Amino acid sequence: MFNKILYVVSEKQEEKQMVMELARVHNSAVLLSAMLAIGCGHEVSNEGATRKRVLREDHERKSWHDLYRLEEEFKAAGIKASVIAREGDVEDIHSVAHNTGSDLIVLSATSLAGVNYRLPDEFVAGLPCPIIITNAT
Amino acid sequence: MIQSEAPEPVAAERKAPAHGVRPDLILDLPEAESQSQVFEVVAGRMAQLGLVADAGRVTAALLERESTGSTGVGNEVALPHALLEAGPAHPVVALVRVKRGVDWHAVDGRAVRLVAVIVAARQQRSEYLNVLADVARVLGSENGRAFLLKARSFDKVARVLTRAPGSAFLARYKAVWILAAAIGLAYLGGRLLMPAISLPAGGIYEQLGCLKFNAQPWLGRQALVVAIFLGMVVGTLLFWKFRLAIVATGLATLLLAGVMNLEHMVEYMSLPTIIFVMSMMVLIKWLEDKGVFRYVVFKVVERVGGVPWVLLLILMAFSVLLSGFVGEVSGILVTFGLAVEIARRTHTPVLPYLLALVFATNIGSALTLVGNPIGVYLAFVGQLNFEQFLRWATPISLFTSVVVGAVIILLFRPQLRTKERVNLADLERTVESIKPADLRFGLFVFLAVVLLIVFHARTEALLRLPEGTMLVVAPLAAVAFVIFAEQEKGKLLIARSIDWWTLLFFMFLFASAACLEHTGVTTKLGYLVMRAAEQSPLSRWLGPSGVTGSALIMMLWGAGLTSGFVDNMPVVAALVPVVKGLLAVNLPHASILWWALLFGGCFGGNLTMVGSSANLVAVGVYERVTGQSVKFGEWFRTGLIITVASLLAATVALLVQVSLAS
Repeated sequence: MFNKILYVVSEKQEEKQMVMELARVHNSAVLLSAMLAIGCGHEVSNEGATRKRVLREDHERKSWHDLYRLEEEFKAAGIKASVIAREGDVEDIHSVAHNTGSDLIVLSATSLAGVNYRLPDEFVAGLPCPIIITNAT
Repeated sequence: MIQSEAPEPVAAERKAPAHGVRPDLILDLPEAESQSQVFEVVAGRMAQLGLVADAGRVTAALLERESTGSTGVGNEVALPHALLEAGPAHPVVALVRVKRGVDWHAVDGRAVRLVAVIVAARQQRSEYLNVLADVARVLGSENGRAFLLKARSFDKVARVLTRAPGSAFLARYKAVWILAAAIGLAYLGGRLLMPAISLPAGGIYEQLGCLKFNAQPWLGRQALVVAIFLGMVVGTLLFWKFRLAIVATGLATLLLAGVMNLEHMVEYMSLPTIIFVMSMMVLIKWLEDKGVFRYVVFKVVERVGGVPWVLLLILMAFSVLLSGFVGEVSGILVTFGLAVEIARRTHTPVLPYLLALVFATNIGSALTLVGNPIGVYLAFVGQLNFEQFLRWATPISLFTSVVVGAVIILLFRPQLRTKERVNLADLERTVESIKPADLRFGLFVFLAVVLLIVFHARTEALLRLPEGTMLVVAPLAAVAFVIFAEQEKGKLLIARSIDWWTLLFFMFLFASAACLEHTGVTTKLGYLVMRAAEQSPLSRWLGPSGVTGSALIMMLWGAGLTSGFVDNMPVVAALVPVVKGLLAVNLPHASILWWALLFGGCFGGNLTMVGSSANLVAVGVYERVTGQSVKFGEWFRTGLIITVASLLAATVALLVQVSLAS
């Protein structure tokens, strides 16, 4: 039913277990994704440009590190997994899901902080597949 | 058939390869038929260099990894990677550039042109993940990809793929060192300069009892206060996210040093300003929730039709009016939200709308007393009423808006030329959920509060109340009314609407800035401004009015250009006591300097994208909706033209007022 699951990675263990379970049941391939928000933290500040760059690089490096660690875990569990990452915001999931032909999106509510924990109606209406938004707590 | 070109001449052969990036592992292939052919070339090269024992095993491991899911991460990039039982001592990275691209079954279906192969021994798992993350980070960014595709030397590739840990450490703490140096230099400067500025005896300064500021105990305090205040300004500039912590530390230090006592601290915090701003935050949030401003703007836009540049002018006019009456942040959120919709529907760039509306908002924030916290603060400290704002600030703000509107159209009209028209029926969806009853009720409350504020001076005279009382009473009454109306939702409204961070920042800042006055620093600065103004050509030409005119130009342009780079409130807070000092020494028509501060603080915010709160909020929205960031130069080029044009317009208008008054 779900050949390709687009999983927007969060730090929640339960969520990871749920995606693994879904992938096992449906024999799905999992696309592990992190939306690397431009301007990291959504706040445009007048901090020094060098410091901002360093913080951003650290954030990006950590995101990629976590993605590849997770890829290893999925692989060890016998699940097909690929890493995909984009510069952009949570709203860019729309285009990622389209481009990758995903059949299901799994997203944590914590990823919605940048859009005030609310996905616009037109965003949801335009999605190419169902979306599961897991509880943030 | 794969043709592998010989690696380019190595410019940095003696350098230690970072993360295993070696010049002989950067390969350019005109074409490749499949993944396995790319792997065979890379593995062969690794074996040839003695990095791996068996090329066949490397190819097999990489192909096995591909079988569990493509490593093509999209955007023409693939990151094949594998852990080997017997691998190299450290992770090895090979970069392959395939000119015509190769099918990689990538997640976005596009052919791959950049392949970064990473192999490591199984026991190097942790280092391998770090290298993988580093390379993925670079290849994940558009700039990194473009650079690597074009780079012609190993040095450049290695520089992009790695970052020396030392530079990160220095960058992390560079700002702290700059702050410490600024405080140290300011203290030394204060110790040297304050004794050199001596207030003259036998004149107004003696009558005002200011000569004590020439004596020793005060000189030490002056140097300390200058250092702490400058440290706060530089600190907020360098550590914007921690600006509240910076001003809190500064205030605590001033108390600890005995420069100020608790009574003075509370007195200087300007609580009426804080209560006014806080109450207006609640009221404006409530009106925003009701959709009042969105609806009004939409209705006017609907009437004028769908030509993009005409719509931009209308939205600019609304930005001026909204920021003048409801504050800059609320104003820009309403108008820029609609502008984004218009730009999307006409396929015109969003940046002209962003710049034009932010510029209009900052200029409009000087329109009335309530447009900007600067206006509220000046009203309370300078005892200015709403009618005085209408007499002095409104005409100049409107005149400047017209000048800036003309410049904007001149600059941006070519970019907004399009044959497409905005389908307004489509836009209507954004306001269809607004209830008419809510709208009427909201408009009624808003107009009632605006009328009470406009006529506050007359009401105070009628009721024999102290000046400024009604400025606090009107918004407080509105907040009480709104909470009664909202019932149980009132608590939530208060929690959501009051920006305690900003309010506390203002309170601590006002108290700290007042120390400059309390210790005589600003009296001395005022004396210097007076001396400079007296010696200016304008004063020789116009006499006493020329002295005021020169002081006005210094205040307006000083506040304006500084406000572009640091938060405008600290600049204004520091200059308020200077104006008070010039009023105390009876400079003719010195009260006009309040307006110079208002226009300098508000108009100067247009210079850079960090110049005002409206800029930061709008840039945040822009980045979210377009996925692009605004470059400093992009903003500064237009911001400089607008700031100079608006400050010139304000200078001329204020100088005309001075000459008319004399």
